[in-house]
Amino acid sequence: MSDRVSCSGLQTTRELNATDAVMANPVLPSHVVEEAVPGNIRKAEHFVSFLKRFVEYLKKRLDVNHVVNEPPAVFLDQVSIDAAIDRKPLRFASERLSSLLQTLELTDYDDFSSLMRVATFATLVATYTDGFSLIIEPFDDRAPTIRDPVLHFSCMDASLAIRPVFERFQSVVITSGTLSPLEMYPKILNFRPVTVCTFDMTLSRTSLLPMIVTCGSDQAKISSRYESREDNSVKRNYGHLLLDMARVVPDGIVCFFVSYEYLESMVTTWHDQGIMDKIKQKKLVFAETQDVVETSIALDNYQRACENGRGAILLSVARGKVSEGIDFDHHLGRAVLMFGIPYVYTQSRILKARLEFLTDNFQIKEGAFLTFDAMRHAAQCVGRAIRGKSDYGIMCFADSRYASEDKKGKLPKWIQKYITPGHTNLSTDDAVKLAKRFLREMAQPYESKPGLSLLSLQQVQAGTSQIERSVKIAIEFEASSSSTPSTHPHAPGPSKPATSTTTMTAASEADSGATTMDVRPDA
Amino acid sequence: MADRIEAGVEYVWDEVREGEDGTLCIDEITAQTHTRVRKRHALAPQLGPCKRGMIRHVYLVVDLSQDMDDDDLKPNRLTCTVHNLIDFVHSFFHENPISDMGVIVMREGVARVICELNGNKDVLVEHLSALLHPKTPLFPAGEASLQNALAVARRSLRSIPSHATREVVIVQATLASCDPGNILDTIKSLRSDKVTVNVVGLAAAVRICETVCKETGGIHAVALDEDHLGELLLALTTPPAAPADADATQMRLGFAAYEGRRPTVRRQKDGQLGITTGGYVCPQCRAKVSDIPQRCTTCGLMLVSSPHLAKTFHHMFPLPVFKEVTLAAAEWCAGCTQPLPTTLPAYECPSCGARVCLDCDVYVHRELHNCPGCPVTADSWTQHNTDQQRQQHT
Repeated sequence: MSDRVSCSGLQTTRELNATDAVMANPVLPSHVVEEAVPGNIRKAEHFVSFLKRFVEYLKKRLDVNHVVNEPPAVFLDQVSIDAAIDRKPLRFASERLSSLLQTLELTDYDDFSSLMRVATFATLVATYTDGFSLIIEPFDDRAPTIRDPVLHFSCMDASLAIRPVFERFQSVVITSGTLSPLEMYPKILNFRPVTVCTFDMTLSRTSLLPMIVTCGSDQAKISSRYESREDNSVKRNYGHLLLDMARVVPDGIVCFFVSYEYLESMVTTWHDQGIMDKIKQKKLVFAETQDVVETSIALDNYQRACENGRGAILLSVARGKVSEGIDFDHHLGRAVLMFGIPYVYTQSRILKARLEFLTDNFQIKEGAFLTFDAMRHAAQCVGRAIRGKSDYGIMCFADSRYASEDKKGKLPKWIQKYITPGHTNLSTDDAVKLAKRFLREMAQPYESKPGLSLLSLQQVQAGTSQIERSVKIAIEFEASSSSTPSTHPHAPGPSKPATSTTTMTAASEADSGATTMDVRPDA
Repeated sequence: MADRIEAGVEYVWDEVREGEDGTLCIDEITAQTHTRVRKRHALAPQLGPCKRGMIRHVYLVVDLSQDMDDDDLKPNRLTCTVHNLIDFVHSFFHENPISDMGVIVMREGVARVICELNGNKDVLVEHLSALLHPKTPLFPAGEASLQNALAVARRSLRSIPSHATREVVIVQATLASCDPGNILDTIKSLRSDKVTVNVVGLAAAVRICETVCKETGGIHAVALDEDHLGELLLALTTPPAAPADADATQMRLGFAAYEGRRPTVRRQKDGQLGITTGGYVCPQCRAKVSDIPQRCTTCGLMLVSSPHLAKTFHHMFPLPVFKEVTLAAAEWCAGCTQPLPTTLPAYECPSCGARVCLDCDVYVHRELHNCPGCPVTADSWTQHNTDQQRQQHT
């Protein structure tokens, strides 16, 4: 930031600062921030009693025996009837609380985190009437007899999160390696794309081997579908697939399961069947757990085992920490096995509400969205293996359902390109044979031709000078046409900065409902 | 052909054609194999004129873990490896007559020296072929430990005088190394002792092997198939470049003269005494040996003859890689004088312009180390071609 300031004028600095402010707070529209705090909560004691009333009301709402799902408008209506709280003061709850805490010069914010959560919830529920929904679940689905009421306030509309970006910038470039199919995104994020482009990977050699394994060596179909989850033959076939791959793949193998429960039951079965012992002879086995500390220790040791030649297997969960944030480049991930299709937990109320919202507002079919979401996560998981042009890796999709065109077509283009008919519908034995061949070929020395997948220094310099030249021409063009209204498509607008490149991580976070809020009664 | 079917090439029948007498035959050298063969030997390291370590001390490390039983190399990995290693030993001593070699096996987590460093290739071949004996106690079993093997080799190699190279050649089938300690420390000590480690993998590139080779300045390669394994090993017979800081020491060599008249008692290579007329006499102690190069059985002096030293001359000035050219008109190979196939590329010597076929290209680079065209002038070569064409027409 500082060097940007030093090389540009004050006006640009102001614009940049304004940009940062918008990016920092994309959730609240400007009129909320600018408006004055209403009178009935302006005094501290009034505000405290107001909050007390609101918390009491929430407690009362949570004390139900059935699931409640209502839009924010209905909730607001109920609040004003039952607790005599208006929408407007609610909207200012968050701001008022933070100013109160500042005035009192309290340092220990942790004590107030629960209260701040409630205040933030109040602000959000009063601000957005569309695109959110409020769900109260009195019981956890896994333990339907123990009371554990949770109030979810969930964002259904991903476009809310990206909208400030569109408002602020004239041109927005969204890039990602795993977005596919592209048609879904304009719908979900509610914008009209000017250009949609898919670029291939330019590789000087075929450095990825996607394989769709549909059956075990006994020709029985393998699948993680719900009905066959308890099927021992499926589990055994998955186990043998991992064992056979562990025999032929050097260094690190990463496996993704659809859920923690599935991972646990699979490992237990493998242990009972004696497959686990055989796997352990070949490589060390590490597993991701829901505990962050445990997982990072496991990851650290996994890395060490890959470095010193012992070889290791990491069992992890799609949508988990490992699948999203950690790269397994080169020897850390020579193969990624995807056991099953990572569909989201479809019984979740939040998901159901979201699906309903998508069907109503964007005409996206339930099944289409679920498949799209699952394939996106699958692609994200297997994409962990290839993190560079000199890297190579095996991507193994182990589920009979991947073979269908519907699923295959939703994978990113750069993976699809390498899924030949010879790589679909494989049994474990075929997959192992292909993997062996692939690994031998990849181990051969190769010359990366500069210009195809990597650029030499001269080429980069030539490219830069070409860009500089075209910028110069553009500036000259603008100078010459300054008397007439500018028609240059890329001319910067009066207040809008020209371009913002945002990687899709921001949008996909919004899309997966990252703004979900859970309010528990102890809050 | 079998490997091509396994590799998933679908149109194997394209290479099958009907001969003139109605029988089916397969075009042996297709363009595809052409480029493959060519690529392999063009990629072999060409260092150009440089100082090389002529006196080599090499430990062969043979993996005898259970992964060696796999049959992806025919008939199985072990048999294929041992056969290729025997060939390697022969060509190694052909190229490096005044060097020593030993054999270590990795088996059940430990490494054992089965043959100490020595310059007698028959002993080495005997030990290696014993591994294929059906009743051998050293059948493939258990895990391999890279660290143990390296430590054993290092212990023996560190006492070698510094004018000789210290090398380890590992043939590895396993993908996991079960080590008792930190292998990275072993690599550091190998580096400080100037031991070069080369690894030929049979299955895939393992990171630790790549690291070892990179740290110690060796070559890491993975065999695609049986032939490729042989080629990779063959590439290791070329002596490595001596490090720039290698100290020059004097070493004693005895140029033994041939003595054919007087019958003498001499010790044969297998240690038995015998009476012969022919043999070489050690200039230091006058003892007689049957064959050179070898150490004098009495005083331990290295006995060589001047052709042995001259034979290693081509390592200093290797033959340049030939350029690939397409033929415009019918021509004849400068090596075997057979007509060059017009459908396939020919290979041209960059200095004299003589064109050779693929077989001759491989032969002159691997065995002859001399271009067949270079002694003849370019003009006379063109003349020869025209003569051949004239003969063809008449």
